[in-house]
Amino acid sequence: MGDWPHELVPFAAMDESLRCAICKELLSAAMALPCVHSFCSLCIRRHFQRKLQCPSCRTPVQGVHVLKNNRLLDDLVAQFRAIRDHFRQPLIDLLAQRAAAAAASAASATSPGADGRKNLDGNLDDPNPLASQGADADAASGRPAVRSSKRRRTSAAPTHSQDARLHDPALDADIADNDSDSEFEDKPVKVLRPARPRRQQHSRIDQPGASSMISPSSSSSPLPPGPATPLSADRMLELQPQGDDAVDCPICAKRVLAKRLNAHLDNQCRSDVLAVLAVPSQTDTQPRRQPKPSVAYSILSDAKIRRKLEEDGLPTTGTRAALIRRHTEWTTLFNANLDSHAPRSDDALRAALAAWERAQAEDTKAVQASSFRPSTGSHDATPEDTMLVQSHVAKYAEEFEMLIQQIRDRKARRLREQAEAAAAGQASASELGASMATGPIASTPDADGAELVGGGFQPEDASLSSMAGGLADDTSSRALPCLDELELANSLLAQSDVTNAAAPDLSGPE
Amino acid sequence: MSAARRLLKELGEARRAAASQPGGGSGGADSGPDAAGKSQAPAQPLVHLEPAGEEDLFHWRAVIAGASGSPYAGGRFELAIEVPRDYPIAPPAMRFVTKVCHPNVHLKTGEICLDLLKSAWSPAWTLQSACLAVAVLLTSPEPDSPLNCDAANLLRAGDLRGYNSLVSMYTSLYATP
Repeated sequence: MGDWPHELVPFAAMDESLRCAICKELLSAAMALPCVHSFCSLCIRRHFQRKLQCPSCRTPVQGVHVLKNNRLLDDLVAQFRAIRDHFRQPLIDLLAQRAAAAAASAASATSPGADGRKNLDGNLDDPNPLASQGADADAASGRPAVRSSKRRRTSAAPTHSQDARLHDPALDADIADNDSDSEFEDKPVKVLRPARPRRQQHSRIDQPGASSMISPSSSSSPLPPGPATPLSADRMLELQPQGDDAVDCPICAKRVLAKRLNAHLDNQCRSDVLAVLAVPSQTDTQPRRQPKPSVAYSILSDAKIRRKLEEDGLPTTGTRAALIRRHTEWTTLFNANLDSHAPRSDDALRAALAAWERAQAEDTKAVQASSFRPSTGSHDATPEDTMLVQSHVAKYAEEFEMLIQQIRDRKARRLREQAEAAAAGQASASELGASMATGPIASTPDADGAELVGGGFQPEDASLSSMAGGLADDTSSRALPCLDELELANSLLAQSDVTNAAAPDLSGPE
Repeated sequence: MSAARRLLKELGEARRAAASQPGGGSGGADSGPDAAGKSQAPAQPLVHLEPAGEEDLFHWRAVIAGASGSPYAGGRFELAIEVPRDYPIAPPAMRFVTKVCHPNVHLKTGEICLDLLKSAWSPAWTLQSACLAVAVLLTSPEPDSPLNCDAANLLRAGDLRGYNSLVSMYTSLYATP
């Protein structure tokens, strides 16, 4: 993409092809579809919620389960990212330098400009001088010089390949066999060496064990000086299985989980390397997280959905639709997270979900706000449309006035009646006090007739007056929205008139 | 959030394409499924693609040029693009602001009938490629699913001359700067 200079077209092309077609970012947790197009896990999962087909070639897919991790792409992206971070700027600087030098030499008139240009191109074709130059620039820019003497021998990006190795214990074991010294220089923590005291190890080295094979460094090559030794020893102690179910291997004297011992011996003690590295991922972190299944929300009650959310420690507020949306997004986030190299913790995911929900809320607010603007309906009103609306409003202005006046009158009358009823209620309360003294009286049938006439009022039963009051309350509260409804109806009428008038020839299905 | 990020990237891409267009020509055509867009017109049909306002990334404005040799030649057609919040997953809503006489474009509202903007949308498309698809639609109308029956009927009756003159009249009336 664009942040590569014009001369570095291959890098730009590589950048382009390592990007997800959906989010246009460098792929993160690449997932391959059966058609072998790859996308970010999160992107493709979100897309599948809407449509089950490949975004690139439209091949239909069965469901989320067809997704497979594309680790190779992940590694490529990681390495490319590192290349971009570390070598892009030096390369650009270098290009600028060369261009300046070429310009200078051209200006000094010893050679024509075409010559300098050719020189530049020739150098570009050969990656080696660039790579070494880039590394020099790296070192010059103050980065710690990890590649001491082997810089020329190793590839242009040694640190990145090691980053990739970090996640692959099997590969590590191989490397420990034949390349251990370079490992020492660069990554002391990763040295694979039994953590038993050296004395004990020497006592057993005559046995047909493979300890020297696993870690030639500890017995054959001298240990590297410096802080590397205690660090790696501590680390290895930490990595070794502890507790009751760990036993000493009779051959190599390492502590191994009892249930793994046979496999360990079968592998000539090599599997131990794997076991040691595999153990922390199982014991240090929580038990392995399983992907969450998709849920058929339509057959679940609200309470069940709430319980599901609660189980995952998520908020359970909101409407049913909000609950479902939240749980869907959570499932998507969770499963996509499991696909990545270094999954984040549940808490981090919960934070991400909360952020997502806030963004959703803001978005809907923004959308609502914009949809209330009259101009952004399905289309902007043309001048003719507004003219039509205005003429309509002018034509029926009197009727609108009349209707509004009627509503106001009605509302005022209701208010008055309500006040009267309240007064009646007070009066009848005192009356009630009096009648309590004299004894109960039969309810007067005339009373409500008098009330209906609405002229003067008669003292009456407390229950009746309160009922009348309630009635008045009810109608007046209904009268209020009535006004709004009318106005709404008016505007709707105007709108529909306009659309009818404006589009007599609009026709046909799309 | 992700919609805004992606729109920013598309904006950068569009600006780069615009920068490379006057000089080089072929430059910034999208790699998407828009091969037809490149082949049918020697000049880039997409003249302009920018957000409508400084603040808002979700409303865009595009201008496409009518293909030479078609009755739309010489016209500049403005498109209003509204981007939904879940954008690359959901398609952008596009309509013509300029009055266009075309069987699949509503004469009054500018609504566009194009499956790509509805059911056939794929997140691998971009605003740029969608605009190019609309530009291609101008020269390859589909009279069997009309939004403008009058234009579609002319085409269906085989009155090409009538159709072409009607379209070029509208183009010269409304779309010529």
